[in-house]
Amino acid sequence: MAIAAAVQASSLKGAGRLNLGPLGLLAAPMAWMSFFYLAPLALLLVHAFWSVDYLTIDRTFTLANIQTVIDNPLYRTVLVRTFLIAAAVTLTDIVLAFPIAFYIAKRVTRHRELLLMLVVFPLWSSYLVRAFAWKTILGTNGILNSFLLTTGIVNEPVSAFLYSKTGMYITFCQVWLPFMILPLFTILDRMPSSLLEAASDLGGNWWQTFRRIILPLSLPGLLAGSLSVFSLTMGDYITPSLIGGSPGTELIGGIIADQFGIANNWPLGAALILPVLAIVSVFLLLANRAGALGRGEPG
Amino acid sequence: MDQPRQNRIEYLIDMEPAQVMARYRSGQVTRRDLSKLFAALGLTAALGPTIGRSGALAQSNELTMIIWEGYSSDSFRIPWEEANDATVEATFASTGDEMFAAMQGSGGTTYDMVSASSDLPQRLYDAGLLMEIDPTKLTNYPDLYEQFQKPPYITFDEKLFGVNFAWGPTILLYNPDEIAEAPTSWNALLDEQYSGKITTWNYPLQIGQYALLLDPKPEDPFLLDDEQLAQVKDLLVQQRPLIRKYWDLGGEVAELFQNGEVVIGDGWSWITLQIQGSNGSIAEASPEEGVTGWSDSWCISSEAANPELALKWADYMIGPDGQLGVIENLNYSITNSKVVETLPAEVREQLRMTDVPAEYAKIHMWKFIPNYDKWVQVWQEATAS
Repeated sequence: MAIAAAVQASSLKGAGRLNLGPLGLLAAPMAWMSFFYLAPLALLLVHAFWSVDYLTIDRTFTLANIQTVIDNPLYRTVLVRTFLIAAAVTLTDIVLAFPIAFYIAKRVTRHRELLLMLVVFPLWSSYLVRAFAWKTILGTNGILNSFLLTTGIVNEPVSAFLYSKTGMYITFCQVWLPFMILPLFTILDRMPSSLLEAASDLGGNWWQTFRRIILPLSLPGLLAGSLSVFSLTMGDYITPSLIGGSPGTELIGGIIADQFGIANNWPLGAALILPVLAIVSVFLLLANRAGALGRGEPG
Repeated sequence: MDQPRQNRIEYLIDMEPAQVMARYRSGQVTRRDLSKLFAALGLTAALGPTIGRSGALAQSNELTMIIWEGYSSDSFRIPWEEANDATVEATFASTGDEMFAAMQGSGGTTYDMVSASSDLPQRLYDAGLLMEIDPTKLTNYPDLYEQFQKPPYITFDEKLFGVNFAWGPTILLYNPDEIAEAPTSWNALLDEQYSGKITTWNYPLQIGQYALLLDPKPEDPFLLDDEQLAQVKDLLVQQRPLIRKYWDLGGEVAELFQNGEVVIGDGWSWITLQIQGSNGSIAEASPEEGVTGWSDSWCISSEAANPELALKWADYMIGPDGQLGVIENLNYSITNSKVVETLPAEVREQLRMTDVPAEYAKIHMWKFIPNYDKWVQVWQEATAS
């Protein structure tokens, strides 16, 4: 996305001098993407139509894996569960990120870089470290429970925070939050403040201003952020195995990882990727239509 | 993941150019390795003064292995490293499946060795990932109990593919501060009174352990028909809501007990030692239905960069230092009869080594499972519900 925008911008500027045209400029990144991303992905997906025979892959075309994915109630349950958690995390992150992004973009004049830095800061640490940190916070004798006990809010430590869907939800919301704040900030930052002033001059209250000015104009950033948060949650398998109660298999990412790892069943794993890919692609198409990918310039 | 390949290159750096080219022609060195070597040589030339050749030399004597936790404990690894001017680069696996996936994924090039339990070597052998071992090259081999010299799980086509060095049971672990009386049955892991305080190993092979609870009890808990598997699945589904966490690595079990997340679970005596080592409360119990267990062997990858070094390690691990190290650091039973004879009577008794063949036979040892794909399916369906 950022790359596409950069390419677009540079092709506009450089058109007169280099005369490369958009295709010429895109050739290198396209080649890179095809070779290192699309080709391996295609190779992986083609496994879905093969089968495994003890230790070797039988390359005869079969729909058996697709059938298994459709028939087995386990995969359906887990897919729906994953979808719901991903949707909940995305919505929560929107609610959390909006005020933060708006505040930094529109209300702060000094130390903006510092605040932005603080948003990005968690991304400097390994994702694993952040998930582990949540273990110490959410545990039975963890920081959160100690706090609740000393303040007298609860009498018994709450065990439902860790090794549960609640724990996964909390962790996801935090680790993916920067991916929501940053695109929102970018778009809010570019939004002319005069629009907000005009709205208030014309007597709009904050809700009207938000609903009729800010929200529609920030939709591309919102969708871009949602796309990141949603697909990151859909595919994750580390958080479920650390924070979830089941052996990582509560979410579809864990089940897929297991097929490639312990079960040594690449074909079934590849077949399980298809519905995930379909869900994310639908989201991507919808977002694209709504202008999240840079075409629908606001204003 | 990139590390070993990198080391292969460093290994080549220290060779004579003619030697490298000979290997390239014979196919031992790939074109990719060669171009990487040239790239690395360029780098070395540029960074030479800062890195120094000695670093590269030491690295070429590196032994990579994927093992169960504890099998590279400092107390016996470091003396071996010093004596052989080598370094051990160990990766811990949470299951035998993970070991297999790691070996298979790289075609055996990532790891020189694997500490395979009795269920695993058959699969590794069938995938062509094991190197034959010549027992005459192992000085301590004649001291092994006869049953560990050519056991069926590491002998294929009458050839030896592993060096059997340790064995033991998977047992019940519980916190004696919370559970006053020692549990006597695996049913304790399905007991509602410990709801939300139970942990069990995340490994389809554990179906064998729960099969011990079936009535009638299967003769061999690792040979189950579809009906028996369905019965075990019922138990596991019933257990699912009681589980706090399915554990992956042994270190995780220690953490779960010490943080008060669980009061009972299954595990190995290495875990007990870990918890005791940090003054936690832990006790072991051996259920009356019997126990499952493992017999571990050092296997060498068919693509091992350093098979001679790997053999030295295997030989060391069945020698007095390695064997005593296994007892001291893991509390596992050992396979060298001469070393067992030197042990005090109470240690022999505690570690089931007063009469090794008889006590070994009491444990249902993990073995190759022909319908393992079904086991995986049952395990996933029961634990993900």
